This record gives sequence, structure tokens and C-alpha cells, in this order.
Amino acid sequence: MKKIVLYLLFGTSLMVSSCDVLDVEPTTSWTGANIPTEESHLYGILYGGYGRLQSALRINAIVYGEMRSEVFYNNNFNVNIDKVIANKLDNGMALASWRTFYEAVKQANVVLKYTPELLEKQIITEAVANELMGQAYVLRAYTYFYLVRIWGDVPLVTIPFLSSNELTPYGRESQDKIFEQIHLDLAEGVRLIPSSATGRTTFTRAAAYAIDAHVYAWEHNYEKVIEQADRVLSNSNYSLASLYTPSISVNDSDFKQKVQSTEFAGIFNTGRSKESIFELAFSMDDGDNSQYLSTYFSGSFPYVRPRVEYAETFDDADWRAVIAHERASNGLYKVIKFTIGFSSDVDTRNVVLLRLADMYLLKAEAIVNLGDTDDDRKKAMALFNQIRNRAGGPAFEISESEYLDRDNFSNEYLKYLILEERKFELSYEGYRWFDLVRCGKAIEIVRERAGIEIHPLSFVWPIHIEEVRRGAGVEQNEYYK
Amino acid sequence: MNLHMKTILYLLFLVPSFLYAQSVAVKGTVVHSRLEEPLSGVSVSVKGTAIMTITNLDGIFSLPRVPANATLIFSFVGMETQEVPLNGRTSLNIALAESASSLDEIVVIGYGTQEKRDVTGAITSVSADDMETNPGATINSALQGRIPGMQIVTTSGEPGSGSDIKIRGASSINGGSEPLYIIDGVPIEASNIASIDGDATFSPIASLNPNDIESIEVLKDAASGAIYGSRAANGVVIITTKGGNKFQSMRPRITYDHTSSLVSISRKLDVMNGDQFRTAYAEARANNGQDATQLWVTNPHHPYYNRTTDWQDVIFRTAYQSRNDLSLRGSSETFSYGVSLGYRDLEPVITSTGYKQLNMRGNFSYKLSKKISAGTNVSYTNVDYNRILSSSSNNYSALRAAVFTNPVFSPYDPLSGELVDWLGQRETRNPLAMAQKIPIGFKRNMITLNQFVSAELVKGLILKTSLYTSYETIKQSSFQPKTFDSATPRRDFGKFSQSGTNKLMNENTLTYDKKIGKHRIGAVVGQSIERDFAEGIRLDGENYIDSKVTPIQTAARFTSISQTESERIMLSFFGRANYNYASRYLASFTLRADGSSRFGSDKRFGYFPSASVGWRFSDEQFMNFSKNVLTDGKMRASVGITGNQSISNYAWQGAFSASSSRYDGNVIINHNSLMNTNLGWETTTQYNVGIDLTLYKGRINITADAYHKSSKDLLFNFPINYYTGFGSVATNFGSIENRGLEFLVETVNINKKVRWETGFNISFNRNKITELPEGDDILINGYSLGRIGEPIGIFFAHKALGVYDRDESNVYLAPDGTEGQYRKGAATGEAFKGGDMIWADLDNNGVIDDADRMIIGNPNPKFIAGFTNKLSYGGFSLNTIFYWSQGNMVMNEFRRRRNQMLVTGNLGQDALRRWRQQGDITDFPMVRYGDAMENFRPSSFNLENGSFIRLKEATLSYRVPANYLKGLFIHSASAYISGTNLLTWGKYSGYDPEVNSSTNPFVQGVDNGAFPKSRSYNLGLRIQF
Repeated sequence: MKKIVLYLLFGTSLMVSSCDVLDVEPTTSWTGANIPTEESHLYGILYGGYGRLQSALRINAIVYGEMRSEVFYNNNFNVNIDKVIANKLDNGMALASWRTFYEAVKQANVVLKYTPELLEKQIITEAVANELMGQAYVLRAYTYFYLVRIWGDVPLVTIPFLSSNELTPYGRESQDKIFEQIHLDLAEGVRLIPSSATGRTTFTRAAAYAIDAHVYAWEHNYEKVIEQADRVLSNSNYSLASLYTPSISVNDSDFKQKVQSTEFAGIFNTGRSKESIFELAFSMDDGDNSQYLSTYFSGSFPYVRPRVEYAETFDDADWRAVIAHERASNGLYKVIKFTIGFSSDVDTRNVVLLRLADMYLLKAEAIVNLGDTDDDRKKAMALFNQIRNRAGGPAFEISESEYLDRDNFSNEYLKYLILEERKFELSYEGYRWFDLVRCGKAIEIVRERAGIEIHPLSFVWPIHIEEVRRGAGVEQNEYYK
Repeated sequence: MNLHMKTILYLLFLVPSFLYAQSVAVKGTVVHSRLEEPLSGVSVSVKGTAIMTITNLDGIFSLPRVPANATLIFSFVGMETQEVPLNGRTSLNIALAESASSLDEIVVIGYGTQEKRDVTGAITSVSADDMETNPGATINSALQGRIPGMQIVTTSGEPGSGSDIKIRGASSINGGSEPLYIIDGVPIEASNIASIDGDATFSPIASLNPNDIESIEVLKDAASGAIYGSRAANGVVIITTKGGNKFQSMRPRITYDHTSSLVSISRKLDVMNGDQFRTAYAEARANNGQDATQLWVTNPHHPYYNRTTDWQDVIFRTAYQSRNDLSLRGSSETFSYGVSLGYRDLEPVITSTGYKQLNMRGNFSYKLSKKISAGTNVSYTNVDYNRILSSSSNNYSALRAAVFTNPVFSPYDPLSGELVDWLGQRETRNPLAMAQKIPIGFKRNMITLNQFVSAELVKGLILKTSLYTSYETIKQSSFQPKTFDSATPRRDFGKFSQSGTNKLMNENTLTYDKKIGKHRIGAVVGQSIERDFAEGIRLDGENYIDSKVTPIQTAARFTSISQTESERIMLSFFGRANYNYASRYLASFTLRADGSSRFGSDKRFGYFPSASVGWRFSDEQFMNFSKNVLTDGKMRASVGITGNQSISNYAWQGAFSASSSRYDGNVIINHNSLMNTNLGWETTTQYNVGIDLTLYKGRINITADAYHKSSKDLLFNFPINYYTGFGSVATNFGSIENRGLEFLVETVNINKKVRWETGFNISFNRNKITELPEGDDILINGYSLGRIGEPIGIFFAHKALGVYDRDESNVYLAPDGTEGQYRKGAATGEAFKGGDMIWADLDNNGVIDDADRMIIGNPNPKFIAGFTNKLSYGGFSLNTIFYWSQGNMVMNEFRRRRNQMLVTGNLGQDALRRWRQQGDITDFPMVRYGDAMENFRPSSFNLENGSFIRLKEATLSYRVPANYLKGLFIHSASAYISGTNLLTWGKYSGYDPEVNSSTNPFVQGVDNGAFPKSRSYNLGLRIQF
């Protein structure tokens, strides 16, 4: 009997202690309740946001930003790429999902929620808090800018979902509201990020200004474009990387090699160039696998090649062409801009999303859209010619006497010239489609040059079918209904 | 043997004293009436006394002092008991006939055993004899077709692969339809093990040697399972291993088993030959507005391209498999032991792969004193599997390669005859070279140890305490050499992972059993605590310095490094009370309380009660009239609640975790999942009524059950909108109901020199969803629908009505009378043309889109059935088992993917009847590279009837008569030939209608092209010394 008593005692004592026994927390990850409690946690989450943006944009910056225009053709029959290039998008394509973008937004929102709490508890300093929040604001703004340009109206999520009972249906918010939020976020970013921050793989004040300039351009608010672009152009941390130099001659036997080792080629192939405003960092040491660059562009069977007609619009005197692409003996072109010097040990490249030359041309575009006085033309074309000069030397510039000749250079033609110059300068970098849409030229140019008819309602992408199926309030874009 | 003990106990209780009359010495022999062989171990007792003995190896017994007028009782498990009055004789020769009734059998139930006659729940038993004879046999394959209400679909024919099991229909959604396995009293939660490349899963219970199994009990209703509480909602499978569990005098016996088999795939798919495919491919390109400029199309006579290879012949082979088992078992009154060694060499039917499994087990029990006994069970398993990728979604998959690879190539260079890595001019990888040069290793080691001590505190009251631990490691690696990389510059890729699991369990039970007159009471109370711990490390590397010797450290860099740990603790209290009056009125109650660390503190404990009653009406006076026919009749009824906790360990807590990649050198922390403090138990309430009838002294046994099962608060990773930043959230959601009927009829048709037994079982299950959050439909995997009132996972897709014979045939008449064309996706979408599929336009708006999808078929069978036959004559016996699944539909994704032509992959012969030109009338659309019009979207076109009847196994065995073996030191010898998966009748066009590529119970009947089941011809031998 004694044993029974002992046993019962043992049993009861276990029952009493049971609640503690069953409190088990993960040891190799964190729960929703025990993080973030330290500065390093917040940084980890912020970098998680950059990581998500990286996933969202690494090749897709070009897919969303360029492939719908007249630039590429589908070389190796990838079904999805074929649909993009043919502008026959459908709601079942993985590319129609905004999932990764919203994961970046989520990470930013988590940082924005918890940083003030940790600051209040004096776990982090104000300087750290500012840096974290400033970057998170810009990250969120930039992500939304992509979201709006790709899908139009999108759900505006600015607080993180942490628990299942916070799940409330969000409808799609109008683009105006999203733009309002983007400007607010960018302003906060500018306010909080210290001017001393000069990194190129994280968001800085200059990056915030550059993004804001782009957003205003999208809204056709050109005064603001100039205002924000000027803030970047006046920043001494950024200057144009060199390309044309009289010391290299077209007749040199190693001309191509020399051009491909210039600073300009280095923007894309070495990274962290003085011209770069923001680029996504890729490195094999980080575990990034960017074989996609060779798969898409430069391998033996690249997914896409530039159309021959497109590649041949480059002037022979334009040195940028030597870096942008290369023509094989069979007459076909292939993009080499990002894969110069690839080897099996070095085949990752940072993806440059914002750079100074873009600001030059964006400002020029704003000026010619605002006015057409001689003075306006001089200002705009001065910027324009700096870019031309870098690409092909003084001879490549358009002289004042030419561009002031209003018989040959109408305002429309100037706008066209700048748009074309953006094409040459920013070729294959994920700008062309957005530029065409922004300047209202998408339908015309894609029809003329690629023979593809685009409906204005189809500038936006379809929303992925899964998202529509899951969500009350997420309606499909009109064109894809 | 238990029976003997019981007989003794019975005698001891009832007749405490007796008188000797005149005593004589009696001796004699006992033989098997049909086999005419001596029976050893037969209990011989004197009626009304405690005198008893057991026959020896030669079937001889002797009793020295027996009253001359006594009656002797001869009893033996599985034989009919005989009472023989001595009438003065001193020498007896007895022949025992096989018994037809199984009511005396002992059934293992949760925390105890019961006589089959006293069982009040729905339990079906399977014995070791019913295991399949092929070396690749598994527990699941043995159970298929034998248990009414248990649907088993093996997910692939790969050795050690997992199965999709449903007992009485799917009652859960979150990957948790697997029953709870209890192996020698230890719960093994069976979550399948995923391969490193994510292409296959392996069953955790594959580590058990089927030859070690003595019996399997399947507990189907809640009353039987509820004592296992929170894990029993999907039913419980109790497995008892052989040896070391009974104290009796049995001399050491060595058994050797051997099986050799020839194994091949049971079916090949038809594919196109080189010219047929060339034509189809050129057509597919032309239909997509492209010229087929590939050399293999334009240059058919080139030595690279002039072949016709059926790659299935290259990838699949006829393999030799073998199984060897050696065991030693025996016991004395104080020590019982069983040790076994098993080795299986299961060479798979896919070229260049190998599978070897070693099993060792030792079961020992011993008496420490009169009142205290103890036992030790140890086991070791080692699996060494060298495989190649098997699922169809991956480019390197063997199966995909076998069917998809372009037939115009040969695996060998046409000039040199050498094996080439790439076919043609680097056009596609050579699957044969991949099989040989891309090694994927899977190594599994597992040790289990169970120690228990039990003490009889007072008479009938036994305290048992046990401690169990298991440790398992799984090492997986794969390496893909540079030569197979298609990108430039080429890289090689390797992976290595090591994972370990450790289980620790302490269980303490107190059992009481007492019989007072005709009242018998039994009780069990117990408590257990379990800790399950899992850890894993995984490294992915690139650019190895060597392509043959590839430990992970020879990688030039690591692209991904991760370490994980996970822990679960469960604390449980449970009890059961049984009462029966003369085995006529039976009642049983159980209660279990389970606390699991998987749930938030508010929802942590779950309570799972059950009650069951039984009435043996055949024992009632008023049933006397039927005694001649009705030997035994019992009605049963039960109700109980069971639970399910199959959700990941920390699901309710939400998660932030460090990524295996970094950003610019900085550690990344991702917010991976949402918190849900309300996450709690999923519960299933089940009602069961049943009847057990034994007619004509066991010549006919009938069991019938009806059940109603309702499951609520289903655990589920519920899909949510991506704008939240998440894809799903762990939640309790919705309710499901299952209703069904089960019948089992076992008969002994002839019981003479020839004995013929048959068994037939059939079960009908109807499943439907009764509640969903806000009543909304839910769609998983694109076409598996959850809708209130419908079975889960019913197929929801477009309905194909045929193929437009010409462009002009596409005419849409709008309600307002205008004429237009049916368009794809949107009013601005492309119009269908000749050769495109005609789709049902449900909303009649001229646009074929999501709104036009409908329920097109049900993946659940209308019924499943099994039919067994056993015919014996002398030493020969012939066994067959058939399995039948009727009315289930299968979505043939594998075929759909081929026809889509997203890549250059060979087509089936059915594509020969494709639409080719204007005016063609057919049901098969045009082939078009990339399938731009989505003619091969998931639809009724790809939905096929998956009904089938399969002759699972036929075995002819011969047992050598004992008198041939005299003086050979051999106790018994038998041999058999058998065939497994011999014949399948059904209309399904894929490899196998018994298919389910998904382990998610919501997604059923989907054929992504799994490793097909193999057919084997086996030759076996069993010798006992």
C-alpha cells in the first residue's frame, strides 16, 4: 500500500508542475512574443526586408520594368517570359503574385512598430532608432512604388500583422492614397536617416530623394521632380563614372576589352560605383545564387536576347553598346552588361536600381515638360549632353545650335530624344517599360517596334488568381476580368 | 499460452480443493487432424483438478497420477478444445481439429489485452501470417484490403516510402490523417520523413522489420482509441513484436527465413516513337507560331537523332531482391526471450539505385521475484539507400526522365558507344548518366530501448512503470556534378543534411483485475510524460574539388547553412474501467487528459472521454432456440472523443527565424508566421454501433459496424491573402463529418482434409464538410475544393466538352442575341480556334474564366473492399488477396504536364489522335508548345476513373511433413512461391490508379507521377530448428 501512496504523491507532484513542463519555447528561432528585444534583432529584421526586396527584384526588376517593351525577344521559350514579352499576361503566372513585395513591406512594418518601443525602453539609442526607421520607411516606400507601377491600386498595409486575430480584410487602396503614403514615408526617411549614411546597398537620404523624384515623375509633378533630383545631383557623394576617354581608340585591337574595364562597366560588374545611388547587394558569400543572370542573358541558350532591330538603334559611336550587348557571328545579340568577367567562382552581381545618370535624364525630362524656352532647352540639354559626352565624347553631343533650332527640334522631339537617351543609357536595367508608360508612349512604341498591340487598361498586371480567390475585397484589374 | 494460464487460473479459482480417487498414469500423443503431425505445446488438463501438462515436441504427454474416471481436456490456440473421458484407458491418441472460431483469441488494446469475445469497440486484428511474402512488404501493404474501413494508398513504390492512410475517412486536414502507431506500447507519431531534395517521403515505421511482427490491431472507433486521447482521432494501430513476452517452458527455437524475388514495374506507359514525336513536336511549335529549327527535327537521319528509345526500358530494370531473417526464441518459467536479425536487400527497379536494411531486435522478459517481473526490448535499424530523384516535378527526376525524354536520342554515343552526359549536342541531359553520376544518399540509423518493471502490489493490482527512449539519425546527401549544369559558367551543387530525433517517455500504470462470481471488473489508471526532440543541420555547397569523393567540406563555398531544433512535451493522465457480467453484459469507460506544449496555455489540456457497452444476447435464455445456428452473438455501442494535434511544434507562438542566406554580409531575420494564441485541439466525436455474429460453431463469422464521426476545430494552415506578408496561418477551422458502414464476413467453407477459408470485407465511407470559416469555399492546390456539404478535396475545375473542329465552330450567342466568340480569361482575351478545347461556359458570358469551374469528380472511393481466400490440403496451401477500390476519380497531372509541352517532353500514344487541321473531329486538342490557350488546364479531360481491382498477392506454400524431418534437427520446414501485385483491373491510363502524390489529406487522388508499384515473383523458404 505504501507504494501506492508514494506513487500517487509522485503523480500529483507531476500534475502540479505540469504547467511549467509544457512551456516549451523554440531554441533555434524566436516566437512572436520574444523578439525583437535587442538592437541586433531589429537590424536582422530590416535586412530581412532588403532580402525580400532582393528576391522580389533580382531578375524581376527587368521583367516588370523592361520586358513588356520593345527590347527583348524570347529566345529559349520560357513560357512565362513569353507571356510577358508578348504582353499576354494572365492571372495564373507566378509573376502576377505580389507575395514577395508584401513580405518586404511586412519586414519594414515590423521594424517600424518595434523600434519606438525599444527606444522608449532605452534598449537602443536614438541614433540607431533613426537609422533603422529611416531605412524601413524608404524600404516600404520603394516597395510600394513598385507595387503601384505593376498592379495599380493595391492594399495599403502600414502596420504589421502579428497575430491571427489581427487579420482583417483589406481592400485595394487608390493609387493617390498610396502615393501620398509613399511621399510621407520618404519624407520620414529623409528626416531620420543621418546625412552621414553613404552606403550604396542600403537606403540613404539620396536614395530617398531619387525615389521621390521618380514617384513625382510618375505623377507628372515636374517641379517636384526637379527639386528632388537636384538634391541628389548636388550631393558630392555621387558622380558620373567615366566611360569615353580619348586615350582609348576605336582602332585599338583591344578596344572592346578596354571599354569593358572602364568605370562605367564597373557600375554593373564591380558594384558600389560612385555613380550608384542604390543597389541590391548580391554575393556568393551571402548564399546568393545569381546564376539567373547567365541563364537569362548570357549563357549558351539565354532565355532572352535583345531584338536585333533594338540593338542596332545604338550608334556606332556609342561606347555604351560595347558594354550593353554583344553580337555573335550568327547575327544575334546577347546582353553582357551584367556578366562581364563571369567565372564559375565569381558570378554574382549587385543589381543597380538607382544611379546618377538616371537623375540627370529624369531632370532633363522634367524641364522640357515644364517649359520650352531657350533657357529651358539649354538647361535640359546640358544634362543630356553630359550623358552623351560620357558615352561617346564631345562629338556625340547635340550642339546648342542644333537643339535650339525649333524647326528641326520641336518640344515633342526633345522629349522623344530624352526618352531615347534613357533607353541607351539605362538599357536592360529595368527602366524602359516604366519610362514608356510614364511618358505615354508605350502603346505607340511597342506597336511600331515590336508589332504588339497593348490595351491601355493592361498597363497594370493581373492580380494573381490565388490572391483574388483568397481575398474578400481584392478585385481583379478590369482588363483581366 | 495465455489461454493455458487462464485455464489454470480458472481451475484454481473455482475448485480450490479436490479429492483423489483411484489414480492411474496416462500417456498419449496429440496430432493435428488435417496435417496428421504431432502438436507440441498442447495443454492437457484433468477436468475439475489443477493437474495439467503440456505435450512435448513429438506431441507426447504423460500424466502420472490421474483419477481413473477423469476427463481430460485438450486445448490449443487455434484448435478446437476436446474433452475426453478416460473410461479406464491409460493411453490416448488424440487428433485436434482446427477451430473455426476466433473468440478465444486475445486482442491487444490500449494499456492491456482483452479476449476477443469481450471487446466492445471496433477493433480488427491481423496476425503475422497475413504479412505479405515479398521482401519489400511493409506493414501498410499488409494491412491494405484486410481491415474494413481502412483505406491505404501507398504514395510511391519506392522502398520505405510513405503511405496515405485513412481510417474511416479523412477527419483532419493538416497532413494528419496517419493513424497513431503504438509499437510494443510506445506511441510513434508517424510524420513522414522528407528527402533532402523534397521529392519523396519515407515512412517512419519502415524501420520496423515486418518479420518481427506478431500481431497488428487496428482500433477504429473512438471508444477503443480514446485512451490514446489527443492523437487517436485517425485511429490507432497497435503493433506487437514477437518473442519475450510469455513465461512458459519452450525450448530454444531457431528460425531462418529467406525470400528471393524478381521485381519489375507492374506497368509501362505508352510513349511516342521517334518519328511520331518529331512530327508532333514540329506541329506543336507551328501551332505556337514558331518554326522547329532544332537539328533533331530538321535532321532526322543524323546519327544523334535517328533512334527510337523508350526511356522506360533504360531507366527501369528487373531487380533481384532478397530478405533473410534469423531468429532465436524461447522461454522458461522465469525468463523469456526473442532475438532476431533481419537483412533486406531491396534493389529498386530503377537503375543504379540500391536499398539495404538491417534490423535487429531483442525482446526479453524475466521474473525478478514471484511478484515482480521486468522486461527489456531493444532494437536497431540501419537503412542505407542510394537513390535518384523520383518525383515528377524536378528536371532531374528519374521518373520524369523515363517518360519525358526525347525518344530520338540514344543514351550512348552513336560512334564510340560511350555513355554520354548530354544527349545530342548538349540538348538534354542523359537520364541514364544522371542515374549513375548523381548519387543521392539516404542513411538512417535508429536505436530503441524500452525497459519496464511490473510488480503485483496486492492480488490483482499491478503497478507497471516503463522508460522508453529512441534515438534516430538520418543522414542525407546529394551531389550533382558540373557536367550536368546547363548554366554558364557551370557549377556543381551538393547538399548534406543530418537530422536526429530523440524520444523519451516515462509511463506508469496501475491495473486491477478481479473476478467476483460472475462479475468481472478491471481498471487501469496511468500517467505518462513524453518528450520528442528533433534537430537538424543542413549545408548546401557549390564547386567541389572532386566529382567522386564529395564530402561537404570539399565544396568551395556554402550557399546555405542552417540548424534547427524542435521540441514537444506531452503530459498525460488516463484511466479505464471495465465491467462485465458473465461476458454477457459488458461496459467500458475511458478518460484521458493530454497536455501538449504545442498549444497556448489556455488551450493546453484536452480531455477525451469514451464509453462503450456490449450485450451478448446469444447467452440470454430466450435465445436458446437458436443455439444450433447462432454460436455467439454480441451487440456493441460506443461513443467517444479523440483528438488531433498534428500541427508544427511552435505553431501557436508565431515565428521569427534567421535565414540561411544573408544580406550584404548581415544576418537576416524573417518574420515567418503569425501567432495564434487560440490554437487548440482538434476533436473528433465518434459514435459506433456494431454486431458480432458467430454462426455454426465459428464456420461463419460476421462483423458489422456503423459509425458517425464528426470532427471540429480542424487544425489547418489556412491560406490567407499574401498582402499580409504570409501565405497561411495555423488555425482551427471548420468541421468534417464521416459516416460509414463496414462489413466483415469470414467463413470456413470446408473443414476436412481440404480446408477452405474466405474472408470478405467491404466498407462505405461518406465524407462531407459541415462547416468552414464564414462558409467560404477553400481551394487548395488549384483544384481541390473544400465546400460545405461536399466531400473534402473534391475536384473543382473546368469541364471539357470536346474540341472545336474548325475556327468557325467557335460561336458564342450572347443573351442579347449578338454573335461572338468564346474567349479565354477575359472579354479581351484570345478567342478559341479550331483544335482548342470547348469548355462549359457556366455563366454564359462568352468568357472562359474562374467562374466557369465546377465540381467534376470525387477523389473518394464509393467503397473499398478486400477478399481473401485460403485453400489448404495436407501440407499445401494457396492464399490469395484481392483489393478493390471503386468510384474514386484521379487527376492525372502527369499526363496533363506532358501534354502541356512546357518543355520538350515526349507524349503518349493518346496524343496521336490529336486535332491536326481544320475539320478534324476528335476529343484531343491540338498540341501547342507552351499550351497558350490552356487546353490542358486542370479539367475533366485529365480526370480519370481510378477504380481498380488488384490481385495483391497469391501464395502457394508447402509445409514439409514432420515425419520427413525426423532426425534432421529440423523442427519444421516450409517453402512458398508467390506473386505480389500480379494483376490490376481498371481503366486508369497512368502507372497506377492507386496513387496519391500528396501527403496533404485535402489534396487527394492526384497523380504527379510517383515511382510505380512493382510486381514481384517470390520464392521463400522457412526452416525452424
